[in-house]
Formats: sequence, structure tokens, C-alpha cells
Amino acid sequence: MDSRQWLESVLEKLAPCNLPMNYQQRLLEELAHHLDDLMEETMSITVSVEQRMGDPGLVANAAAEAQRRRGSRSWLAVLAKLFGFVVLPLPAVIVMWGLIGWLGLAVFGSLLGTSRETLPEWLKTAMSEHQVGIRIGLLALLVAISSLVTVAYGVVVRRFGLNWRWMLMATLLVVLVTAPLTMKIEYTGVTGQNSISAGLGFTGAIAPLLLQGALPLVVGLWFVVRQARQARGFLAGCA
Amino acid sequence: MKRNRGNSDFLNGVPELLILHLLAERPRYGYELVKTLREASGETLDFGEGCIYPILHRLEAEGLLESSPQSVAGRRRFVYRVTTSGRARLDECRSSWSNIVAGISRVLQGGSHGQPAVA
Repeated sequence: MDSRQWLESVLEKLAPCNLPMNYQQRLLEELAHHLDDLMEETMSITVSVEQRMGDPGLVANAAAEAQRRRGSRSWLAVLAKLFGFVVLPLPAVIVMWGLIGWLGLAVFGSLLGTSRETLPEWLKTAMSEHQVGIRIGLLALLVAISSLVTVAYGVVVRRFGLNWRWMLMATLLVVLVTAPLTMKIEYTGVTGQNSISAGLGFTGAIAPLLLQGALPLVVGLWFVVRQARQARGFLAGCA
Repeated sequence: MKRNRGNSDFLNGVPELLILHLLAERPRYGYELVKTLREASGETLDFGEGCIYPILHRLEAEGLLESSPQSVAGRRRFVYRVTTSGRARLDECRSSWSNIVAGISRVLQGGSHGQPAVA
């Protein structure tokens, strides 16, 4: 039995145990790397894989037992994931908008060497003439920030080998908070009577919803598909 | 009610003792751990190396170990380290093991009545 046949045999024995795909993937990944190391180290020696690695059935049974004994840690882990992927995306996006908005204003002010109350003339002109453009630009910036939050979730899901469904949940929530984003600029040119406000609301127009939700949705779905393919691909590669 | 960890439990947990002991020295990944275990035991411990991973996963699930994926020699490895609870369990296991060894030694040396139990 070579290393591939041994892995196939473990996979076959794992099948009736009904273990989570993520766990199977991780176990097989570790076993495959172990076998690679073993082969590298013992290339010159005739080594029986089964003799070194053990009976595939025993490994599968031990894995099932390990999963069964997860106990209270298991629900804690699920709770942490629920919080991280079902609750946190909404405040995370809003906090990131606020944080980057605040940082942007601070940098903007220091670059211009002026305060928000006394804008330079060129900016006052731009604000009067290109309000729509500036509004769209700011909205695009916020959508980009949402997409970056989605990327951050994708990186976490990939790094910790989590199920693609968690990524899908986080993506949908980010889209839910990004799509109905509205922005209003009221510029009169009179100091103290100008404002920029952002909020969530449905104006009745579908196009902005689709446009604003599209980027984080596409980014998130890319990670979802990648994660799902990786899980299936790894298992299929062993089978 | 506090669970009574008897010697039979402990004997079943010898791999855990060895794993916790080696990982308490420094974090290691699976293959490295097995290699160290074989070398440190002078190749006397014969076990299916594949079974080490379910044990590691169980100890991790029990909060005695934690793992993080790291790139080692171009490969992604799950490197395991002992947690604070793991160190406490290791102390407990070492103490139990010392008691067992001492008990067995007493039996082999003839016990309190001065007659050898093993001819």
C-alpha cells in the first residue's frame, strides 16, 4: 500500500463517520504532509506506509472519537463563529466607515493646512459644481471599505479553514448594510450651513442597491466559491 | 461532582502525557512531534503515526493544546503548543505517572512483606 492508497483508505473509512468536511480536510491535509515528510526522510528505505502510519480504520475511528469528545468546547467555538460571522459584520462595516471617514477628514485637514470650516476656494468651487460627482466618489469609497471588510473575512475563513457557509453569511450581511447606503451633501457655500451625511435607507430605486451591493457581493462570493472548491478538491484529490 | 481520574484512565492517557510533555518544551507540528517521540524513546515506542493527529485534535478540543497554521519549509503546518490548562494537566499526569512507577517498583521489589512478586 503506497501513501496515496493509504490516504484513500482513510478517506473511505472516514465516510461512514459523518465528520464535518472541514475536519476531514484538516486531518487529511496533516496526514498528507506527514506522509510527504516520511517519504522524503525514508526514500532510501523500503518502508511500509501502513506499518508506519497505522491501520487506516484505526485512524478514522480515533478521528471520530476525537470529534465525539469535543464536548463543551464545540458549542463555544460555534458561539464564537456565530458572533464573528452573523453578528459582527454589521457593526464592523459601520465602525470601519466611521473610522476611515474620521481618519480621512483628519488627513484631509492636515494636508490642506486648514480646518473643515475654512475650505480653500478651489474646493468650495468643486463642492458647488460637482456635488453629484463628490457624492458618488464618497459612496464608492464606502463601498470599497465594505469590500475590504469582506476580503478580511475571506482571509480569516481561508486561514482557519472554516466552512464556506460562514463566509457566505458574512458576505450577505456586509451586502445588506452596504446596498442601502445613502449619502447626502448639502453645500450652500455659507460657513456653518454645509453638511455631509450618510445613512441607511431604501429610496425606491433598485439600481443604486444593486450597484452598491455588487462589489462586496462579488468579492465575497469569490471567497465562498474558492473555499468550497478547495474543500471538495482536497477530498476529491484523495479519493 | 468532580470526576475521579483513576490509574486506568491514566494508563490510557500515556500518549497524552508524552505529547503534552514534548509540546511543553516547545511548539511542534505533527511530524516533528512523532520524530522527536521516536528519537527520545530510542525507537522503543511503536505506534501508528497517523493516530497522533486525532489525539492532537482531541487535546485541542479539550483546550489543552492550541494550534495555528504556519508555513514551514514551504508547506502549511499546524503547529501545536500547550495552553495553561495543558500545563496543569501535564503536572497532574506527571504526578500520577510517578505514583504508578513507584507502585510498580514496590510490587516488583517484593512489597512490604519482602517477597518478590515476580520470580
